[in-house]
Amino acid sequence: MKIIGLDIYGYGKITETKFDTNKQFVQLFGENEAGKSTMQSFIHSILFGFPTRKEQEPRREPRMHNLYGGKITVEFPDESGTVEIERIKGKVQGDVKVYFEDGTVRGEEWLIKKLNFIDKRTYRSIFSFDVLGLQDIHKNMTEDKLQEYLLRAGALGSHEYDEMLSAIDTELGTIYKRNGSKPELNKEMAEMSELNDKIRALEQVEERYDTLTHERLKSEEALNFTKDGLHQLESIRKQKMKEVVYHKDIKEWKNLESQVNIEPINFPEKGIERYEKMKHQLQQSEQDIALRTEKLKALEAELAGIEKPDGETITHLEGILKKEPEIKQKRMEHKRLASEIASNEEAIGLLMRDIGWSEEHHEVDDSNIVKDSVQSLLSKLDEVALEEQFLVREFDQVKSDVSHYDKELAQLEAEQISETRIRKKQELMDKEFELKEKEKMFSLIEKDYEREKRKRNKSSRMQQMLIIGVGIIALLVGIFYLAGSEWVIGSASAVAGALILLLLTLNREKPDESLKEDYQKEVAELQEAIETINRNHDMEFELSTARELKMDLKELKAKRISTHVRLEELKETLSNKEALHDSLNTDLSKMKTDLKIDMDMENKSMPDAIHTIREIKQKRNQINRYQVEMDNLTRELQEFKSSVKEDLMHYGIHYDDASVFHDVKNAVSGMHKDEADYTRLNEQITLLQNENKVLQDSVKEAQHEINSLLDQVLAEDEETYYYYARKDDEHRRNVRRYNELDEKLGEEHFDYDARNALADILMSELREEEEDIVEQIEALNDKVHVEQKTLAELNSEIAMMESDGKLSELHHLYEMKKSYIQNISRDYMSLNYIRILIEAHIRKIKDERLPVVIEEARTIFQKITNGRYINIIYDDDGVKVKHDNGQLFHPLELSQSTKEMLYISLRLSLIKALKGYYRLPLIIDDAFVHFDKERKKIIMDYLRNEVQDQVLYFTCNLDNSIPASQTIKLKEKVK
Amino acid sequence: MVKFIHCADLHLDSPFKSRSKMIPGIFDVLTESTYISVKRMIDYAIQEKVDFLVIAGDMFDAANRTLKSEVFMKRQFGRLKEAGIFVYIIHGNHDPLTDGFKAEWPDNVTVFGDNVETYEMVSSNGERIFLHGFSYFMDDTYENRLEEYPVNTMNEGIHIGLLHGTYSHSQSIQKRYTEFNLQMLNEKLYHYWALGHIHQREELSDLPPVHYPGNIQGRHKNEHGEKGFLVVEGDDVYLSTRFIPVQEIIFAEYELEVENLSKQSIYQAIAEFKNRLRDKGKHIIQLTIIYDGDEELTGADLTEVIELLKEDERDVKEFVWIDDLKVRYLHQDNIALINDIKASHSSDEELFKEAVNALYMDPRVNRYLDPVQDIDPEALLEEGEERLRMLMRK
Repeated sequence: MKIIGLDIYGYGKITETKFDTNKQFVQLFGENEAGKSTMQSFIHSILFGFPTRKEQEPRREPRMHNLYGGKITVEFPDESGTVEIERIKGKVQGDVKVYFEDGTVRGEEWLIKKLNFIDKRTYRSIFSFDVLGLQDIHKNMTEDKLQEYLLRAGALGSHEYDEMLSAIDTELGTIYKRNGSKPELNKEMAEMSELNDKIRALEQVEERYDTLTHERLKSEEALNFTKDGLHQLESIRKQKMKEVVYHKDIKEWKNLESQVNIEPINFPEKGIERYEKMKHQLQQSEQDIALRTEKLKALEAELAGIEKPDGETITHLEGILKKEPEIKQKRMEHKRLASEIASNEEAIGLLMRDIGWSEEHHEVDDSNIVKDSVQSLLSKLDEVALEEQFLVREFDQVKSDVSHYDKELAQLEAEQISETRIRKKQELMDKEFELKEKEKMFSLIEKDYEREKRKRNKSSRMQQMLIIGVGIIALLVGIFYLAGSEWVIGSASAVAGALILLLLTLNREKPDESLKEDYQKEVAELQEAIETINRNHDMEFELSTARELKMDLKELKAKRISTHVRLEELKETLSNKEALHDSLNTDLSKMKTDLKIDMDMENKSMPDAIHTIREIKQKRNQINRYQVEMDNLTRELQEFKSSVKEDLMHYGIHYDDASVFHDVKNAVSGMHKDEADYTRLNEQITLLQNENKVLQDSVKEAQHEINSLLDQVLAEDEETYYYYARKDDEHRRNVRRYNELDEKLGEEHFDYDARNALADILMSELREEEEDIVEQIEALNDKVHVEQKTLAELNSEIAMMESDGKLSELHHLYEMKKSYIQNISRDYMSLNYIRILIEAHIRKIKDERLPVVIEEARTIFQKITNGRYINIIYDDDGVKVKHDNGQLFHPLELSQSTKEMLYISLRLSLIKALKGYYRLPLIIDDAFVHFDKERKKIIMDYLRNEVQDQVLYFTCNLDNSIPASQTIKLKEKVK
Repeated sequence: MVKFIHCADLHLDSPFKSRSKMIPGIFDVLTESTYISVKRMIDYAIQEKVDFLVIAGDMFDAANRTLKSEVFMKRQFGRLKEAGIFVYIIHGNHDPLTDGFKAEWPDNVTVFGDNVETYEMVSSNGERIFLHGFSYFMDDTYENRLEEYPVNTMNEGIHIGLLHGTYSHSQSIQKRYTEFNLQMLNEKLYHYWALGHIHQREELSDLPPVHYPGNIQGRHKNEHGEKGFLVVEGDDVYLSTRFIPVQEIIFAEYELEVENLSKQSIYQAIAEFKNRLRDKGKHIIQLTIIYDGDEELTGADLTEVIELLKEDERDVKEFVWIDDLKVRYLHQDNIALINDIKASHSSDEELFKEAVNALYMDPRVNRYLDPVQDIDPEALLEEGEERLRMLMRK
């Protein structure tokens, strides 16, 4: 790789600077602080990243500039054209872009790969030379270090190999040791084998499961068999127990069977009840007949004592009774009318007193026409009275107004101001006005005069100056001519000049002041006149006030005359109204006479009086109508009395107005009672006779029934009949019991043969059989218990196995552990693999590369020391060199420059050896300060001619042997 | 309308694999998780009144085929019997017919034999359903019996194929038993193929529906995400599927970016992240911390953080267990040792053998290790480098 240009955007103190380094060898000269180190750091940074914190190198971010980074243009031997590598601020190590000539852009990964993964530190330790590094070669260039550098080639780490190896060894030791017990894997394995044993044991247990399930099946079968037997015996025993229980019944059944077979007599159904009922009925009937005959006799006697009343009489009396309400109504109506008449008479009396009548005057006209005329008269009277009142009030008002005006008039006349005073006042005011005007005029004239005066003065001065000037000129001309002996012209001019000046002095005049004084005099005269008037008259009033007073007086006089006229008018109107009032009163009195009412009655009450008259007339008519009605009623009542009185005499009833109806009612009700009693007794007698007939029939029937019952069983008397009845009952009970037992035994499945058989067996035999069976059952029960226990044990063992997840858990643990072992084994193997690879690598380098490097270094060393040293040897004590005289030297024994030469040789040979990996420019930082001219020339020649890679030589001592075209001077370029 | 559940690879009581050592509480949940998942499925079947349940192989796990698991299944099948639900089982490579205790299943359970068999059932709606399948007789003596499946020529009823096998395009590195391709299945003219064996849920085809339901509970980091079974519903025209997750624990991998690499802030960030995850249920996760900066976390600090995080999960019901915690530096100075060493030595098999033989030659260890040919030298090298980097940070 060759750097053909640098473009620093901003790095340390260098900003926006470009360098062209497109040479195989470039000398970069700059004095101290010129920025050499910054440039070196820039190249490192662009290629490998900006310094990070742990690198202990300043980041060199520009302080006065905001761009950080820059661009390097390079050429790669295997890329066509140039490539620009740009790194600017971004992430910690900066953001990289690689631009190609064809426009492609690539990233950091490409760059890293292109630089074959070399890192900054490795690059520095191989490709950078500085004066410090050249010291102590015995320390910096030991065989191990050399080896280390060689190893790093392509391996790229920044860590030391042995550091890595020891770390790996420690780690491996904690994971696994072949014969150890403490490392993790060994521990896990020990646990694992324990686990394995447990699993084996459990698996064996589980294998028993099959056997167990088989056994369980067999055991279950055996148990079922025994249970079947037991079941059968159980049912036999139940049968026996039943037989024991029913044995008694069976015996009874057997006995009944023989009895039931005998034919029974034919006894009538419910024979005894029927017989006894008939007998009882017979006795009862005979008793009833006797009782009824007795009662019949008593009733017939009673009937004989009652008389039956006549129907016609009752009807007649009832007719009279029906009239009762009608008569009562009429009597009440009569009474009511009499009281109505009395009350009306009383009301008429009261009304007459109201209007002052001593008797009734039915001829008086009380029509509505009269009433209306009275009312209109009354209203007119009211109207006239009101108008009169108003006029009287108005008259009084006007009168008081007149007296008021008189008083005011007298006062005003006293206040009047005299005519002479008014005239003088007028005069005074005219004078004052004139004075004011004159003063104003005077001040205006004075002002104008002053202005005119100033103007005039100014122009006259100008004129004077001009004339003086002409005068002097003429005088001077005159003198000039006089001096030139031109006498005529000279004297003429001088005389003219002198004349002019003389005239001017004479022409000065005074201005006129007489007008002003005239005015002043006039003003003074006027002031004097005003003061005279003021002194002689009292002028302390206003002219307008005097005029107003005069006007008021005139007005008041006019008002008093008009009020007088009005007063006269009012007096006349009032007398008219009083005449009208009197005529109305006369009309009203006439009306009262017509109505025959008291003259003292108030006019207002007249319409009411007319109403009262009308009412009296109405009441009188009403009384007349009532009187007619009452006469009719009296007549009717009289008729009724005469007709009834005679009728009643026939029936022995005395007539009386008040009690007649009560007496008739009593007579009628007595007759009704007798009639009812008679009918009732007759009915009872008929009923009793009928009953007797029926009872006798039933006696006959009962007798017949009893006879037929006895005939049916051929019994002669009651005794025999009862005997047959008992026989029949017993037979019936036997049959019922037999049927009951038969059904019961049938339900319990005892068939006819079994019953017969059992009837022949004794109870004790049955009991013995039952006991035998019970014994057998007990024996079987015991057997079932034993078998059940065995099965339960088997079941519990199986259940335990089924519910026991121990094996499953151990399997989980086993697999978990196994995967853990696999994981740590993998860790171990992976680290071990790395270790083995590293070791192999180291071995290979040691064996293959190192001798080549040392041989190359020897060649270079020999060359640059001009053959003074012929060999470089690495042995157990480190590096040694061989002088051409055959002596071996340790680096410490060499001169400083030779030592540095040795170092350079080794580095250059290393670079050469690594060229398969890296082709990078060398950066040399003033490494040759200890060299004399000759050596420096040799090494420079070597670097310029023999080294194939680009060399950037930074120095503060300009080497003039290097052409200027290959030199860049930093001094001027850096601010 | 027929409705059934298609599940496979229950791997009941299967042991789990993890990087870290589990604390007892979590270990217990782990061991019970497959049982819980299966129980949830049975609950679902009963609640939704499905017609039947198909288990397409690997109901049990060879590594832990215990009495406990069989007894458990027997009880669950008993529950299904009470609900009138039938069960059709084929055995797979992990639970072949020859293995185990051969429990007596209730009579609602049908187990296919080692030859292809066909069973017919009638759904609650009266449709005729034909199920075809076979069980593995022995793990390592299987043969491809796909040829023996009858072709559906009846044009009647619904035909369902049960198969425990490997899809030919599958990337899975599991043992490739009974490899098949879609054409082979389509030729049979079935309405649905209920597959098993691949633990990742996958729809191979929509018409006819060919499905792997995946396993019912993840068992290690590679079986991540939700796990469950398929509910298949439809008629002879089309059967649609729906996935129902029932897993107890979710295995997952996550990455978490952090700004600061101090152990407190890392711990804080992870604890917050865990709490966000906790709402979604129990988790076992592989977590990678991604960091863009130039700080470094020492191995000791990392171990401390890991221990703290583990301690946090003690006695927590909805735990989020971090099985593996890695830090990935976006900017790290390469110890790209590998490139050089790889170039010159990685092809040297002797060196690789030497490295692994350190353990493989120890008979106490090698019995627990996978076959040596399963180790990828390159991956091992990368792991080693990663570990070395960690060591160097001390």
